[in-house]
Amino acid sequence: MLFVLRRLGFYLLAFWVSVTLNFLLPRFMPGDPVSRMFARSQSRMTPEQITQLQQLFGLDDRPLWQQYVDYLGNVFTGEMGVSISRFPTPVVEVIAGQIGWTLLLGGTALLIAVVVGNLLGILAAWRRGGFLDSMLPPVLVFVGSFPYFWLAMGALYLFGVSLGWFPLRHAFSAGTSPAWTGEFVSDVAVHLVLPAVTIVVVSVGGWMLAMRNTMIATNAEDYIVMAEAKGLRPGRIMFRYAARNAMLPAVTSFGMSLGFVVGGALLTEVVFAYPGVGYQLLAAVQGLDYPLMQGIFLTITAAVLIVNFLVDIVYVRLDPRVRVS
Amino acid sequence: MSVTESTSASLGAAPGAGSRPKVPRDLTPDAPAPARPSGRPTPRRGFLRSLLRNRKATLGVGILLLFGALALLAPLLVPGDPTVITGSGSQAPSAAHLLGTTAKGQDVLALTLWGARSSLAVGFLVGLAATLVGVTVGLAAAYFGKVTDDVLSLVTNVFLLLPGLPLLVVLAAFLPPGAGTVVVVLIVTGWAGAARVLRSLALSIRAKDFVAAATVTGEGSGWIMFREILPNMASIVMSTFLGVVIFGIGSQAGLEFLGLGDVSVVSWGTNLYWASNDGALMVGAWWAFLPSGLCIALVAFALSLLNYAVDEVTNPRLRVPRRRRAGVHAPGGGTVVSGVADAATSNATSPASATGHSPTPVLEVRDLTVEYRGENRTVVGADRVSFTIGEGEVFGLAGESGCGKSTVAHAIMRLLRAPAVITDGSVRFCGRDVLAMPDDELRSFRWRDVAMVFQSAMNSLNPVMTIGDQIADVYTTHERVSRSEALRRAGDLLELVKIERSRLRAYPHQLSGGMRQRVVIAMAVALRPRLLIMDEPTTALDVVVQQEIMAQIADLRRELGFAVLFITHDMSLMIELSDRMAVMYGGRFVESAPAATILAEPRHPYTRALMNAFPPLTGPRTELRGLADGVRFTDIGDLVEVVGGHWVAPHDEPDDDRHDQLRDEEASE
Amino acid sequence: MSATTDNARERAGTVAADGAPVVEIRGLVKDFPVGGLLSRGRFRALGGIDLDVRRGEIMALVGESGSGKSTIARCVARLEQPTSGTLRVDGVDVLAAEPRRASRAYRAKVQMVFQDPFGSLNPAHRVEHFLTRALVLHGRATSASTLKRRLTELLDTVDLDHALLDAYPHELSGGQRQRVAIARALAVEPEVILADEPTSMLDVSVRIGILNLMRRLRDERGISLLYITHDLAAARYIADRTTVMFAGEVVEAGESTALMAGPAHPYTRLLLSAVPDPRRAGTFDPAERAALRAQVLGATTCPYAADGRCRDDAPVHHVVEPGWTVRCHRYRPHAEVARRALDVSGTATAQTA
Repeated sequence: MLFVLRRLGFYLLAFWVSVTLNFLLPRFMPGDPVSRMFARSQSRMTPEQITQLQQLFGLDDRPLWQQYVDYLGNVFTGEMGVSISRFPTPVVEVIAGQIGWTLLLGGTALLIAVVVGNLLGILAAWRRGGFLDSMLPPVLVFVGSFPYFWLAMGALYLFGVSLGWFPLRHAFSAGTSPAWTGEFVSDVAVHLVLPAVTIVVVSVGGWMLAMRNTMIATNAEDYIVMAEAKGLRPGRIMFRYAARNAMLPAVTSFGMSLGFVVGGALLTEVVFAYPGVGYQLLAAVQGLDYPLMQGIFLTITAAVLIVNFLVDIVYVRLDPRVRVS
Repeated sequence: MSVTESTSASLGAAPGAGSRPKVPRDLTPDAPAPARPSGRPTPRRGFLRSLLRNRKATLGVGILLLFGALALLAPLLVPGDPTVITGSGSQAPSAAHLLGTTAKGQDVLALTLWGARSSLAVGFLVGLAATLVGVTVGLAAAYFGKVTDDVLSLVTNVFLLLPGLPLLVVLAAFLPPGAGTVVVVLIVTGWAGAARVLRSLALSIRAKDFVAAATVTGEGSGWIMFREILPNMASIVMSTFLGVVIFGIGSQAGLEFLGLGDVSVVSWGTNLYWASNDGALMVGAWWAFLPSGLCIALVAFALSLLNYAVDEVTNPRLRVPRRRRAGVHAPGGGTVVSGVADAATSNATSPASATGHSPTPVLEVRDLTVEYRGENRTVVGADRVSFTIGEGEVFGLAGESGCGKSTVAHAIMRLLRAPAVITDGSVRFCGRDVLAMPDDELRSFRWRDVAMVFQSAMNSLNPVMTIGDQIADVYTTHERVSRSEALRRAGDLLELVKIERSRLRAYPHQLSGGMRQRVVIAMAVALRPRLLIMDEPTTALDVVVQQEIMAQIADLRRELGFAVLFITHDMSLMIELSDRMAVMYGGRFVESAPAATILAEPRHPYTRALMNAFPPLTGPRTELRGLADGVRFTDIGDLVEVVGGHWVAPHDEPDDDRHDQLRDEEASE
Repeated sequence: MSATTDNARERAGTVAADGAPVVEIRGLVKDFPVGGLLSRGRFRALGGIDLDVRRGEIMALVGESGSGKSTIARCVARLEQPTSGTLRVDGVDVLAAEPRRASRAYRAKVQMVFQDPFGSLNPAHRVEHFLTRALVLHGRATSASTLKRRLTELLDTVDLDHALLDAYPHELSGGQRQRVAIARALAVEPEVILADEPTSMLDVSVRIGILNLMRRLRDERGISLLYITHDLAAARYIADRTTVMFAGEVVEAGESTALMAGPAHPYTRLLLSAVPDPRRAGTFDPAERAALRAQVLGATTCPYAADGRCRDDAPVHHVVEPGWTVRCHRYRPHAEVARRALDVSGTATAQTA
């Protein structure tokens, strides 16, 4: 319990750091990009919207500490101003409309990559010198060396443009509207295949290698030899004794590498014009939409931190040694 | 692959967990079971040499050198500004444009070669800077200790958690565009991964005895940081550096692809940005798109290979073993060479035939030979070892680490793993040929007929299972009873070794060392085996607990009547406990006799040296002699029976003056 | 023979006469913090230790793991900062004189040999490096020729082949490494060497050789040794006096052979009775041993806690004989049980036969 509370405190600290970073960036960066943004889009805004954005980006004359206190209050009440590129929709609404797609794509891809990667790693380490152990790792390392977006474009070109097997862009076909019908769900599924497979293909090698290496270390432990001496069946030794222990470092590194996977998912969204926050982030950058940019950054950070916290809770369940301390 | 993944994998393998190598250099390798990673930082000289011998490393270095050369020579190979329009747009590869042209009509080959300059430079710059920060953080944490370290590790972990790409995007969007911006932004987001790994490494080295020893010698802090700690970080610093370079090159490409870098700079990332912006793929101009991506992938692949090779050199176990041609592949990877010759004919002069304890021995080992087949040389772990254990008898096997006593124990249960191979001899349990058992039979033979207590109870219990489940496993597997019935019997067992039944739900770490070993012993007698192998069962325990455990075993033996193969280096303990015993050296038996005989009349000089290591607690204090460092016995012959039941390997007499004889041994070395 | 070695000889000569303590520990307390930032706790590893090491003496400090014996060595070596107490070396109160870090002059007097020879030699350096650094840092070798001579002298002293100067630690056996570690300690010509279980990680057959080497250093050079071990037999073999520790306290101290022939403290008795020794005439009566064990290893650290005396006032050191003390309220002269435990007279042999 204490462990969980400590971690919670740590994640709150991390979130505070990212909020503060967000606060400081527009105020201390050279070149004053925010003024440019205002110059471009001020004519469209109402005076209240202008005041709000000025407060968010520090273009008013209040003392810095007061700006900071107000900023913190705004962030925690979800007041992040209006989006410039999708004027006049508030930033929170823009993100709310798109986070679901990102969760769908990122979650599906991550789940498949983690499960498949870890299983491959377990099997490779169990049968040292076998096909999985000797041939697969170099192949996966090579595939994993490609940038996400490049592989995504390749897949798009090959299976979308040339072969026409899969749709080229977006999360569902133009003209359909979201509904819980079988037709729409399968449409979404078809649109999901290419981006998800791209992410899985690039990231699965990392999971597999990490798991394989931990498993190799675990297999040399005395308790594995002991389990063998006990005459247990190989399957039970492999999963209940070896993999169960090798899983622990994998769970820890899962949280750590989440940020990287999210990054890859964002780039993949851009290539497939998938209507998630990653795609929106690019649009925000191109449209000098700083409020949206910051909102997306904070949202993603919060999501990563929450997942990490969940992982910690799972870890406590998995490792009895943490439970006590 | 990301920085964290690759480096954490290498970290898990390298420092910390290791135990010391137990084997004096020229002796045989130790028992196969505790083959942990050496845990020792590799000395630099040997490290680089073995790295260069690694095929993955050579390939990686080769690719990197090739790209380095291309980047350097780009101005010579394709002179002039690569962005200049030299032909018509979107032309397929041809003699004039080997890799075709972009939509604007620029030469793709020129763009790719020039692009290498920026991409590689940024990648390596980021790698250098982030690694430098990481090393600084690590050394600072190790040097200043507690509070500084707490702060540093907190900052590092916070930065590590912030999602990289969104942070990059936001930073890049606010900073004025330019190549310098990209580098700064990448360092800001990339240093934390390096710092995390190098900090924990530096702290683990800081805690080592050699640092304390240097302090006691009188070395100053600066010397300790840079001359004692830093050199031992070399291999991990290298793999961290490689990981960050991969991160740098990939992230730069990603940023530029999003248009966040300076798009007028020629790099692989901007090439892809323009290809995408110009809709190259939509018009089928794959050549504008393929080369730069392939280059990124090849460089990252080369770096990964190199990184992987570093891991393998630091932790040789990760290397893919060659599969054995002959031999039965046992479940855990152990191997038994099939067609072992009937050994009954060879080596007639063995004590095996001369026990006289029991007409039907429980265990009969004959001419057992085990080899460790390394890549370069083969070492004999056990050399024509023969002995028998009668019903209910305690047979002791004494010797030092690396002498092969654990090898013999593991061979009896066929627990040896590659590279250990049983090449000759036989193991018979109540007449059954253990080495010929098929997998099914072997599994039911294990634990039901022969059980084993390992040296370290902490390590031989699964840390994430309750001890109840671990005992129950034995019953559900061998007796096919329900889990609740198995747990009930497990509770009975615990009570048998005087542990409360409620402890069934405890995890191993919740028990004291002595209690854990008693759990293991309870588990060992769960199926009432006829033979119990005890491989140094009390070595890790304090003497009072050891006495308790041995008394416990004696009680159980009285009750259940099993025979024991007792392995230890503690001669006093062995003589107190064993009926008969043998002393092993370099894979060979040097002496075998009833324990009382060995106590009264040790014949072989090695036996005497072992005995002398345990001075008496009573009587006058007399000077004792051990073996001098470096004394070796070689070419140990077959045992010869000197008196009834007392077998000794031939050695140089005179017997009457031990000291002189030991000096002779030293002199002959 | 060099001048310094002659000095050492001289020192050794004067030693026996004076018998004054070279290391004097009084009321040494060491607490270790446990827990993280939020829950700071303290674990008392040493609870007020008094200990003397006399000039030219080998003092054994025995106890089981966790008894605090290594912590004492690390405090004296100034690797740990004691929580309270005084430490005098050559009569100088070093914790007062050098409160933060030990001076080099102090290092020249007090050296340490560590338990794990595989961990105490930096794998990145050659043997020559370890010895050279120690010699140069302490001004024991000012020219290249003296350095060379000193190096060979050191190797001769610890019986190592001169060729090993160029070897890396991983090329040496455990025994050889420990000899290098001893040579490094000797290089500064110390007055005291703290030897923290120097043989427990070595192969059995070379252990006695290291013990003999340590005794020779005492005999020939007058170096005092604090020999820390869990092995009572080894302590009896090498040490003039033995101090027994239990749970951070000294429970008994005295001349080694006498103490082990008739232990006064129940813990010492239990410890001795547990050591396997086939030469021991009678095996200790299991029932008595069980009773002792239950008492000593019971819920508290004291077997006789029930009478509450230790709670009310701390036990004092009883003098069994001059130079032999035991710290226990319950000490009564002529503890018959203990004497029987280690009976060598042969009266108990009938029991086993």
